[in-house]
This record gives sequence, structure tokens and C-alpha cells, in this order.
Amino acid sequence: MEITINVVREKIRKKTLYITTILGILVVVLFSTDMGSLTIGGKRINDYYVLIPILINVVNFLAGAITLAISVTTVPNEYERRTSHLVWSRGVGQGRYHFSLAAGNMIVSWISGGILYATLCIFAIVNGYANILGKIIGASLFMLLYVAIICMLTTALSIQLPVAVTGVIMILLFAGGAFRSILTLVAAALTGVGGKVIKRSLQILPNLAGLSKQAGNLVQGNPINVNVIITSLIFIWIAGLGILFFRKKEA
Amino acid sequence: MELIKLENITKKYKENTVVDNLSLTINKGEVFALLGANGAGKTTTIKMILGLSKASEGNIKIEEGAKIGYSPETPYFPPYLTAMEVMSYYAGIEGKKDKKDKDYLRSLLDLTRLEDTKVKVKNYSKGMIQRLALAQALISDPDILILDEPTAGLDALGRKHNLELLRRLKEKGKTIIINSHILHDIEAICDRGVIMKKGKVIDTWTNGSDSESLEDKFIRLVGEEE
Amino acid sequence: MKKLGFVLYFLVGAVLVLAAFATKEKGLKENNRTELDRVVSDYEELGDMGFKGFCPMNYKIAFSNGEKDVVVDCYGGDYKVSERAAVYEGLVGSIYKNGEEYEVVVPEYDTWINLQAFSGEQLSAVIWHESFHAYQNAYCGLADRVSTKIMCETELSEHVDHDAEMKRLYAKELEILSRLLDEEKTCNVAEIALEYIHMAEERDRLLTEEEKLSEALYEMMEGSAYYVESRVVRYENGEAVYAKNYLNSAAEYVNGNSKYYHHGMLQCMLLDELDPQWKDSYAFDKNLDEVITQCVAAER
Repeated sequence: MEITINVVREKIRKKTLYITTILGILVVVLFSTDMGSLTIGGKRINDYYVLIPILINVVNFLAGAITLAISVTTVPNEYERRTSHLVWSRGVGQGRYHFSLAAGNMIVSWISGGILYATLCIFAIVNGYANILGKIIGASLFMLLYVAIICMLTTALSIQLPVAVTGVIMILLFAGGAFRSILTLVAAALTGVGGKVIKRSLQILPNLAGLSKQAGNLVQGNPINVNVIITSLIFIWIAGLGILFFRKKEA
Repeated sequence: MELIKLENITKKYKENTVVDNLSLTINKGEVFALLGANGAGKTTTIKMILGLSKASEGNIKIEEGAKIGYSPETPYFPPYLTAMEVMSYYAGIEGKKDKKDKDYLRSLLDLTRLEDTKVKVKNYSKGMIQRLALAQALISDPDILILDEPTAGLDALGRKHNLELLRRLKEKGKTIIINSHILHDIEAICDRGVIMKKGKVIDTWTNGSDSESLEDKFIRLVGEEE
Repeated sequence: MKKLGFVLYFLVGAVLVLAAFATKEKGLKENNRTELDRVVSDYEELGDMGFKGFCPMNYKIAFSNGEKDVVVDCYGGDYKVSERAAVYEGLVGSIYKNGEEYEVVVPEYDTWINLQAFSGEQLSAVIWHESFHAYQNAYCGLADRVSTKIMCETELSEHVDHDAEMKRLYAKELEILSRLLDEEKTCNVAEIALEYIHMAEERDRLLTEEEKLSEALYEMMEGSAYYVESRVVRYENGEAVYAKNYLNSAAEYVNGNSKYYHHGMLQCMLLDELDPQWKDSYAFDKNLDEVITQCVAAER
């Protein structure tokens, strides 16, 4: 618990959280206030009820990007500046230590995502759609899962790999997961080895696009696909396994 | 009574042998010195005792249940915390609620002549960091204190105060392992020690038993083959 | 305590995996079923659209993801579902001859929905389009009548696209046919048909025998299917979407295969005006220009 609290405290005092969140809010504001001229497939989108799922997609993506930025350096920094020495020497196991750091990352990322969703709620109210506020808050639960996947995977990889390598791998996983629908289309269209490679890759990509879609379904009153939620939880579980079992040789 | 026993400890980093077949015993209640030039393997030996690094070969035995406090050579603390927050953080990690008591932690800071202020650690001088390192090492009221260069960065007054503190801790029956380049401090406080060179123990030292001073002995032994 | 923690962690994992299997959609996915229901519902209103014996539910519909086909037999009202290895790789909307039967193969909804954002085409409309191809072959035996002289559609359109005069005259044909779309209805259908026939005859002089046969086939085959598809979209989405997606672009010459779709659709619409009963006896044994010529001659 102490380690987790310390991560949160440090991220807040370091102002990392403020900067990334402000950037995120700016983007949400830009998208939301530009509502009147948003055009998709030649069709002007004026209805906030239709626009909200699109904005949720954007907000989740931003929250994921912020999470990646926050999480990628937490564990490496502990070892680089050797704050890990005084933790290891107190008999704290690596699994517990790394899991605590991951939990700290997660809380900070959820706070960031929560702030972005709060911005969304404000714009819903301002545009006279206070009636779907409850649904937007419900949709934020999917953001928690979305962020948790990125956070746990990033933290797990950062235990073993250098920051740059972790960053590159996570960007690929994140982009692949967020733009999964486009990859699905490409995979369906491609034949031969290329098609097979992308199809197999889809199986190891977290279904971030699916999570955003379920959030949109919740807002629009459409059925929720429970399987997407469960497979997301499996990804978190696998990442947790990595955090528990990946070991540093030295403090 | 043996508290710590190192049996044929070797540490290799790829082709480089940093600690070579080291064996030593540290008894309860004694103040033990690890001496040697830079790169002799002293800090690596300490890290292996603490579990921060794993020995390539050999055994390390520590008495079961013995609590260890550690003050690193170059202490690193979470930079955005104050001294009290650092103390509270490590006390919390140890999981002992009574150790989180603010008065107790403040008393430890007082012991090392640090004030409980709002100043963040990242703004501390080297001497203040060193004092905080010693203070946090005492949180669990350890049986064994391992101090790597405990007086580095301290002014004369600070050094004098720390040595006085170590004497009091020795009188309380603490077992202390010190790695220091300041041989005068070693002679003032330690009971015995080993002199290391290139990962091996080349000689032992017992306070008061040799005719030559520790400094002369050190220069004679470590200066050979240079 | 630590051991218990690990045991619990692995138990949670096992539960999650079991739950994932339990909740995974098997067989016919709900969204694919919805598209099929839409086709069935459309048919109740639209019927065979005048093409005797045409019913999309007469043909099995296979939803494909490139690796696996989920085949649905809708005949008789129930959906009988089976699975097989995909008969086609890649993103495909086509027909497949399985023994003596023709089946429709379309992408599954989860794949199609991503393409729909770009194409604007609904999966139910694609099912109608491909079912019509199955009807052309199964009911009317179109495949059996296709001459060996037929050129590949892409090769043909590329050749035409690179010939300035052929291109100009084809564009002129489209322009003439598209006068039918005039909302004011000031046009005389017979005059349009006559002008169109003369233009088509003039253009035919530039084409080889193979090119003539091939163009006529594609206009008939794809154009009529496109015409059927457009009627479905009009029914499902209304006049505005129908006009935007089908009518507004029909008169434009476009490079590639689409021009045969547009041309054929306009020919069908012209025939609707010349002889509303033209489909009753039409069995794809004549190309659409021949049917138009016959209608004009009968009118005289």
C-alpha cells in the first residue's frame, strides 16, 4: 500500500499528471465544441447522442496514451535511481513491489481518465443532454478496463525491457488494439501469408476498440457484449502474471 | 555467537570476478569493518548479504529473524518527499504500524540531527541525505546495521556525532558492519575487520592487536603490486 | 499466505477463461442474424421485384471471415446453421457453386461494418445483390450461356477507359439514360430509348465482338443485380439515401467496373418505363439492349 500511495503522490507532485491531463482536456474540448461541423461519411453529425460514442472512443484513446506515458518509466526509474535498494533490503518481494508500483500507475491513470470523462459530462450538460449523464458515467467503467490493460501490460514489460523497447512494443499493442477494426478489415482483405500474420496478430492484441464500442453501446442502449469484457480481464490477468513472475537479477 | 556467515562467496559479472571465494564470519554485538580500495568488492559483498545481488557461488547464512537496517553508500530517496514522509514510507513498507508513529520517527530524525521540515529530499545536501539514510536504517530497531560509507559527505561535527551514535548503538548490543575509507573512524569504532583486494580477503585486522596503525597496514597491503 | 494468494490468482484465471468460452458467440452471430432477418423482412414487402422465381432465401448464405464460413440455410423460415472452412480467402461478396447448388458468400458483419463506413453499403443489400447473382445462375442458367469469348471485367474496363472515343460515347449513353431521373418528368421515354439505341449502335462499331459480348454481359449481370440492390436500399433507408448512393452517381462515367453496374441499372429503369412487365418473361437469355430494342419496336 505504501509503495502504491508513494507512486500516486510522486506522479501528482511531479506534475506529470497535470500536464498530460490538461493536454487531454484540450483535445476533448476541441472535439466537443467542434460538434457542429463534424462530418462523417459525408453526413453531418449534430446529434450529441450519436456523437457521444465517437467522443468516448477519443477519450478512451487519450486516456490510454496518458497511461502509457505514465506507466512506462515507473519501474525503470525505481531501479535507475536505486530507490529499489531500500525496498529490497526490507525483504519486500519483487512480485509485491512491482505489483504495488503497477497499482500506483493504475490509480493515477484512472484519475486522468476520470478527469477526461468529467470534461465529457460537462459538455453533455452544456449541450442539454444531462439525461445521458448516468450512461456516460457507466461508460467510464469501460475506460477503467481500457486503462488497466495498458497500465498492466506496460508495467510488466518495463520490468524486463529497456524503456525504449517497452515504449515501442506498447505503442504497437496500443495502436493495434485501438484500431483493431481497421486491422480486422485488412486481415479479411489480405490473402496469403500477410493475411494469416495479421489474423494471428489480432488474437494477441487487446480488444481496446471493442471496449470503446461496448461503452458506446451502453450510452445508446444497445446490448453489451460480455465476452469483450471477459477477454479484457484475461489480458489484465496475463499482464499481472508477468508482473508477479518477471524478475530483476539485481536491485 | 555467529550472526552472519559467508562461505566461499563468489560473484561474477560475465568474465569479471568481483568477489572471489570470500569467507568471513561476523559475531553478534561486534562492529565489523570491510576495508579495501575502490573496486575491491566491499559494496558487492554488502549487496549480497542484503539480497540486492545474488552470489554466483557460495552460501550466506544470517541468523533467522535477525532484522537488518541498511544505509547505502549513495542513498536514493523518492525525491518529492519530505524527511518525515520518507521515514513514514519505509516504516509503512516494513508493515509495522507502531513504527509509523510520528513521534517515534521524529525521534530517529532527532537522533541523526535532521529536522522535520517541508523541504523535499531533492533539495537536500549530501550530508542531510547521509543523515536521513542512517535514520531510516534505524526504523525497525534492527539487530544488524549495515552502513556503507556512513560518514561520507558529513562535516567534522557530523562525523563526530555519527560516530558517537554508533558507539551508543554498539553498547546496546547492535551488530554493525561498516564499509568506510576513513580509516581513523574505523579505528575509533570497529572491533575487527577484513582487508580486501580484487575480491579476495588479503588480511584481517583486530583493533589494538597490531603494532602498526591501520593506515600503515592498509597502505602496505593494498599498495602492493600497484 | 503467499501460496494461497497464488492459488487464488490461478483460480481467477481459470474462471475467466471458462467464462470467455461460455460467453463467446458461436455459430451464427447475433449481428449476422439481424442482417438475415432484415433480408427476410425486406422480402415480405418487396417480393421478387418482378423477377419470377427470385427469393434470396432460396440460397444458403455464408458469412465468411476468410478462415471460416458460417453457412445459414434460411429456406422454410428456420435458420439451419453449419460451419466449414472458408471457400474464399480475403474480403469477398460473391456466389459459390457447391455441387449443383449456388450459395451466397458475404463477409461477416463484424468485418463488413468497418468497410461500410467507407462504402456506405449495407450488408443486407450485399446479400440481396449476391442472391440475385445466385438466381441468375441457378434459376436462369446464366453461367451455362456465357460464351468463352467473354473478357475479364477488369481487363475490359481498363481497355475502354483508355480509349477516348469509346469513353466519350459511353458517357453519352449514360447521360441519355439518366434523363429518366429527371424529377420534372418532362422527358419522353420512347424518345430517350430511341436516342439511346442509336448511340449504342454507333458505339458498338468501335468494339470488337468480344468487347460487345462482354459489356453486354456485365451490364446485364451486374447492372440488374445493382438495380435490385438499389430497390432494397430505397426500401430500407428512404428516397434521400437511395438518390445519394445510386442515382446521383449513375450518370457519371467512372473508370473501372462500376460503370457497368450504373449502366445496367439505368437500362433496367428504362425498361421499367417502356414495359413495366418486362421482367415477367425475362430469363437473362437476351442482353438488356436487345430487350430495349424489342420494346421500342413493339411500341411502334
